[in-house]
Amino acid sequence: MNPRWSLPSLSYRVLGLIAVIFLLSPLVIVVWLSFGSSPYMAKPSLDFSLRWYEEIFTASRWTGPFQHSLIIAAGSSVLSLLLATPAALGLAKAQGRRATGLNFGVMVPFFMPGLILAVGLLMFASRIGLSGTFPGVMIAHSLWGTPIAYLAIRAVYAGTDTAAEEAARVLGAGPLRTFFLVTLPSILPGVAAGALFAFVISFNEFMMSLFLTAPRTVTLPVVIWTSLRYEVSPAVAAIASVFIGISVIAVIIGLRLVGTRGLLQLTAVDAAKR
Amino acid sequence: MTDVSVQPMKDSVAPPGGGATTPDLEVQGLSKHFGPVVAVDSIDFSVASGEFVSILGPSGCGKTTTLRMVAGLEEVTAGRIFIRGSDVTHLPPEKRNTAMVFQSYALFPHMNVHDNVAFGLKMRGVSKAEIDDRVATAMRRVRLEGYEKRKPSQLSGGQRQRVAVARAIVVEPAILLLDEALTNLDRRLRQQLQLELKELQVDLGITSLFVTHDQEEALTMSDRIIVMDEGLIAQDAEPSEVYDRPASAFVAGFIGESNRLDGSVAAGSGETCTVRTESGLDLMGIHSGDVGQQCAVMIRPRAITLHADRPTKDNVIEGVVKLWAYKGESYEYVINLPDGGDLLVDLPRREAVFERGDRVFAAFDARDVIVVERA
Ligand SMILES: Nc1ncnc2c1ncn2[C@@H]1O[C@H](COP(=O)(O)OP(=O)(O)OP(=O)(O)O)[C@@H](O)[C@H]1O
Ligand SMILES: [Mg+2]
Repeated sequence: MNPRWSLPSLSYRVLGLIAVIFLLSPLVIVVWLSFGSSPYMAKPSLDFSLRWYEEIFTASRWTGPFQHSLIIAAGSSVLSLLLATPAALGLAKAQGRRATGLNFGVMVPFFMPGLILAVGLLMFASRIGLSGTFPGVMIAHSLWGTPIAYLAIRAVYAGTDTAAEEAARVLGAGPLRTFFLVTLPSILPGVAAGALFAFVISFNEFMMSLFLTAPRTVTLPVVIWTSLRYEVSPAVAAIASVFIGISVIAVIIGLRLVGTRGLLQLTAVDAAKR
Repeated sequence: MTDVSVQPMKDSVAPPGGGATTPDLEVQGLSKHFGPVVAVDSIDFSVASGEFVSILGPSGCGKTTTLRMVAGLEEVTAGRIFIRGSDVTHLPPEKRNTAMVFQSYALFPHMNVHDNVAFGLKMRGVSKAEIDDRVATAMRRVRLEGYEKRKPSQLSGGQRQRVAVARAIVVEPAILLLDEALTNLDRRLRQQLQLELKELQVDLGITSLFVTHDQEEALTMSDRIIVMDEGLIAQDAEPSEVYDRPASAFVAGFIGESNRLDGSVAAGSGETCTVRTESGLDLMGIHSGDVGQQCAVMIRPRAITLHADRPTKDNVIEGVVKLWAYKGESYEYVINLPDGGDLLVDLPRREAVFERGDRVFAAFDARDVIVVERA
């Protein structure tokens, strides 16, 4: 008998399928609603229309925040790379207690609740006049973008041969030229994946944005939240679908660049080091 | 790529006028500590212009560390390094005018072969026309014409290592550093590349420092061998001298196979001495040590002959053939000695007429008995 159809294997498959359906069903319903034509968030129906997509890409109450979200996501992605790249290069091949400590320091904000970070940042940002500004939110989001970009770059860099950089040095390239001509090209997939992940995290982030944005910087998730308090428009479902689309694409591309195995290996390497 | 006759050009090695010129590389009192580990322990050596010197030693003896300090990839703990007479001890790697070939090839994966080889010249600001010219010459030198557009990932191991060699020689470094450059290749390819590399080195007269833990490789390629042991230089001499007159039991044991018997000097007169081994044998050897000195006696398997009747030779030991093995060009015999020890003997095919259990006499000259002091 084909082992694929043996009882244990089959039951794992069924359980796996149930889990996937369970995880994805809210997303499916949201996407379905977004293609309806009724002005209310009613039961999913079968009439197909793109009117809500038309609305979110034309009505200024959505397009403004949409632009803000893009600006903030791009900025925080760049900021995350600027912080994560040197950290990843410095720590990827380092060993010892200090390296472990620094590694922990880079990763820890990622596991902090957004609400806690938001409260802390709010006090800090208003002191130095960053409250309600783009740079303020960008910095806040890079608290999550940096660790994720760090992981991606580190995973790729750990797999490269450091001897190539040494060869470049011996052949006459200074540290700067070695970085731009040899190191950077070899970690580019990690940098790209890191940029993408940081972008998506910022684009999706709600809690810190809620505390730190003002009307001229407000992001999409925050407007969704505020609009939901007065009306439930299927436009929200359309926006949600855009979010889902962007996130799914980013994860697919990012994992392609780094490799699922790359991320897993990194965790294994970390575990072995300790 | 075959029938390359490799003759180290000894006369081109000695600088004209009797060796008064500055060596291309000189190392004085060089040390490297990694925390409590002493990787390199105050060593001195030099490499003359055009010379091919190997650093040979067991794993962990400090070969790579020494080479990396010369390249500037590792800070020195103490000591000084001179390249062509100028002190480079604290210069960064890019200012030393060396080139290095790594065991892992260390090619730039995102550049094609041409750009890999051109890298060092670009860094030196050489004009485009000259770069193309010199890269072409280097590619011809390593017999890789036509591969310029390929990426390193599209090359075999041997081809990659040739690109690495081309990339290094094209910049005409003051000294070429090679760290186990051929170790990753299979045996046949390795022997071929040994010949090619040696030919190249002799033709271009490139001063080279070659790290290896393969004694055969060091013996075939080098003008001089530096044998290292636990961060110290055990011997620094020409290959034949290292082989025939090892400076210590360590060197004798590391280079080539040998039988080792421990004992002490029982009598000495001028050049020759008699060593009484711990099992009570008296052996004659060349050594001018003090009577009573603890020593080890090393005898190469090739230096021993076997006889059915007791011959007249400086040293004769009686034993029984324990086993033999066919080794292609020769036969290897293991002779069981009266004290229970074994003697390894390497016999040419036509002399190999003994069978298991035969009583034989193993004989060897006093000049083939290497006597080294033992701590
Ligand atoms: N970065 C380092 N940190 C700590 N110890 C090191 C480091 N590099 C080398 N060592 C130690 O220094 C000693 C010499 O190492 P080295 O790499 O020079 O040996 P080697 O002769 O090249 O050996 P092999 O033939 O195995 O390559 C070893 O004991 C090694 O463990
Ligand atoms: Mg080594």
